Amino acid sequence: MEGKELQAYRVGLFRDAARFIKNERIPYFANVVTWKVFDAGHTLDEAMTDFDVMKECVVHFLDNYPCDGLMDTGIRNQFNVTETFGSQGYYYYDKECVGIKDHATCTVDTLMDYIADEDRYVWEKVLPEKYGDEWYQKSKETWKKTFKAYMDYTMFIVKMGSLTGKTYGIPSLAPNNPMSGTISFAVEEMVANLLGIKQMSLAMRRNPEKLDEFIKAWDDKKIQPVIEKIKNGKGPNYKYCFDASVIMLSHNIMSPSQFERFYWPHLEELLKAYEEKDMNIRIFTEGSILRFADYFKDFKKGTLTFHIENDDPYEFREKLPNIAIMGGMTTAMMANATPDECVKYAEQLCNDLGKEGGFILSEGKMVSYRNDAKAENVKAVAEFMRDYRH
Amino acid sequence: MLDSEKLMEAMGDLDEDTVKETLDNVMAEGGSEAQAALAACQKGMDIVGKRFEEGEYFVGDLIYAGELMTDSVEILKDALAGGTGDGQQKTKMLLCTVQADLHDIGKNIVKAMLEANGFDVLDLGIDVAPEKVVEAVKANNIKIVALSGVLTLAIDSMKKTIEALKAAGLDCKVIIGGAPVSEEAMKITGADEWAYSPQKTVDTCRKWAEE
Amino acid sequence: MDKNNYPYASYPKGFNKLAKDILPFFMLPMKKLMMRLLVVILKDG
Repeated sequence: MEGKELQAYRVGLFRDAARFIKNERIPYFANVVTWKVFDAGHTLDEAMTDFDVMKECVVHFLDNYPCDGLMDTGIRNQFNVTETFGSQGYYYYDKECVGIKDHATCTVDTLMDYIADEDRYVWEKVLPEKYGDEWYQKSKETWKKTFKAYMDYTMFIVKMGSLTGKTYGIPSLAPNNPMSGTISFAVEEMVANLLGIKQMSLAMRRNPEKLDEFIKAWDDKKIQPVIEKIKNGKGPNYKYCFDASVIMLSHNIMSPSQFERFYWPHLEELLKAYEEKDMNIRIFTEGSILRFADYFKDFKKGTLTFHIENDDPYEFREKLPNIAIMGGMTTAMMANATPDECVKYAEQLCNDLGKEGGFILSEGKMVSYRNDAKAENVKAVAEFMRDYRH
Repeated sequence: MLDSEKLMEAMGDLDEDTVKETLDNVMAEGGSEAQAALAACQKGMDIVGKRFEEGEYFVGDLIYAGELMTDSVEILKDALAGGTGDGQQKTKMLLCTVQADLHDIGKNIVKAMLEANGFDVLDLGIDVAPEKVVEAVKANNIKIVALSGVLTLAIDSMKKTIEALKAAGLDCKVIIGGAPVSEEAMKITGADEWAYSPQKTVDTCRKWAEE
Repeated sequence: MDKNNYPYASYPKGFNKLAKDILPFFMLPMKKLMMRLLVVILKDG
C-alpha cells in the first residue's frame, strides 16, 4: 500500500480508534517536532532557515521511524520571512532551542477594538508597536523581498504536505480551513496572543464583564459560523483523521468557576454540534484536563478524542471511558528508559486501553528538545506499533 | 483602627478593592499598624494557598494574588520598619528559572508566596546559568535554593546547576518545581525535593528553614 | 518617515497600496487572504 491508498487506510485506523471500533492495528501518531532536526544531525538554526535541510530532517524521520501520523511536517520554520523583513522577534539558544519573544496584542480595554476590525487593528496598531519606528522605514523593495520569502515558505508547506502524503502515505490530522477545521476559542486566543497569561489572569478577576463581552463577540464572529456549517453539512469528512482539531491550553490557569463562566458554554455548544453529526473531534489538552472531567462524561462515546499531556492514561480511562485517548507515551520514558522497557509499556497501553478501539499511541509532550527521547527508543516503539496486531 | 481579621479574609477572598482601601487607610492614619496589616495579608495568602490546594483557586488566581501581595507591600513599604518583616531574622533563599528556560510566571507566584511567608528571596530571574547560581549562593551564604522550569530541557539545566553546587562544595538544600518536574526528575537531577504546587515549595522551605 | 507620511501606514488604503505594489498581478483578487497570512507571520514570528 502507498500514497492515497495508504493515507485512506490510516484515516480508517484513526477513525476506528476514535470511535472505539476494534481494529487489528492501533495507530501511532508521532508527536515529534524539532527533535527530528537533531536526530538528522542538524542544528535548529540550520533547519529553521534552509528548506532543503528541514526537508532532509523530515525525510530522515519518516525513513527511520514508521508512523501513521506526524505532528509537524517541518513547517515551523518561517524565520526566513521575518529575517528578510528584519525582525528580531526570536533568538537561538546555543543552537539547541529557539525562543520567540511574546508580544501581547491587546489590553483588556482594547479587545473590542480588535474584534471590531482585526485587520485594521493589527496593521495600524500591533505591527507598528512591535517594530517601532523601523516599521515606517520599510521600503517597497524590502516588502517585495519579504513577500517572495513568504511565497517560498508557502510553497515549501505545500511541497511537504504533498511529500508526506504521496510518498509516505501520512494523512492530514484535520482540515486547516478555519471554517471547518482548526478552531480557536476566545479564551485560547486571549491567553496565547491577545493578552497573555498574566493579563488574562488579572482580567478574569478585575474585568470579567469585559471578557464576557469579548468572548460573546468572538463567538458570534468565529464559532457560530462553524457551528452553522456543521449543522448544515454532511457530517464526517474521511479525507482527514478527524473532522476538527482544537487546542485547549487556557484551562490550565482557570479555576472551576472561571472555566464554567469563560470557556465551557462555547466549547460545549461546538462539541455538541459535532456530536449530533457523528463527527470526530480531536482535542489536544495541554497540561491536565481531568479537573474538568465531569463536563465531558456525557458525550456520546466516540465523538471526542483527547490528546493528553500530563494526565495519566489509566486515570483518564477510568474517569472518561467515553473518550478515546491519544497519548500515553511519556518523554520521561522515551528519554530515560531502555528500548525494551518502552516497547513493553507501549504493548501494555495497547492491551489495556486499545483492544476495543479507543486508543492511539502518541507522546504526550511534543518531542522537541534533543534529550526528550533516545533515537533507539523512538525506533523501537515505532516499529513495534507498525508490527503489533491484536 | 485596623481590623486584621477582615483584612486577612479580604486577602483570602482576593478582594482587591477592600484590601487596598484598608491599607490606604492604615497609611492615612500614620502607618503605625503597617506591620500588623502586613501580617494579616500574609495570613490571607495562606488562605489563598489553602484554597488552591483544595481546588477552589487555580493558577490564574495565584498570579492575581501575587500581584495583589506585591501591590500591598508597595502601599505599606514606607511605614515598614527594617524591611517587610516583623523584625525577626528572615531566611534568605535563592530562586530562579534555570538556564535556557524563559518562563517566569510560576517562579513569580512562588516568590510572592515565599515572601508572604517571611522569606528574603533573592530572585536571579530567568535563563540563569549554573555558575551564576553558584556565585550567588556563595556570596550570600544561601542554604535554600529553588529552581524552576517549564521546558523538558529544564531538567538537564537543573541537573547541571545541582552538580555545580555540589562541585563547589556548597551545603544547601535544593527544591525543583515546574511542569516537567516529578519524583523521577528529582532523582535524575539530584535535588532534595520536588514541588507539585507552590504551597509544597513554601511548606518545604519553611521546614528547611526551621532545621 | 513616520505614520503620517509612510505610504503604507493606513488600513485599508495603505495596506491595499502595498498589496498592489508587491503582489503579482494574478494574485490581486486574493490580496486580502495573501497579505493576511503574511501579516500573521510578521506579527507572531
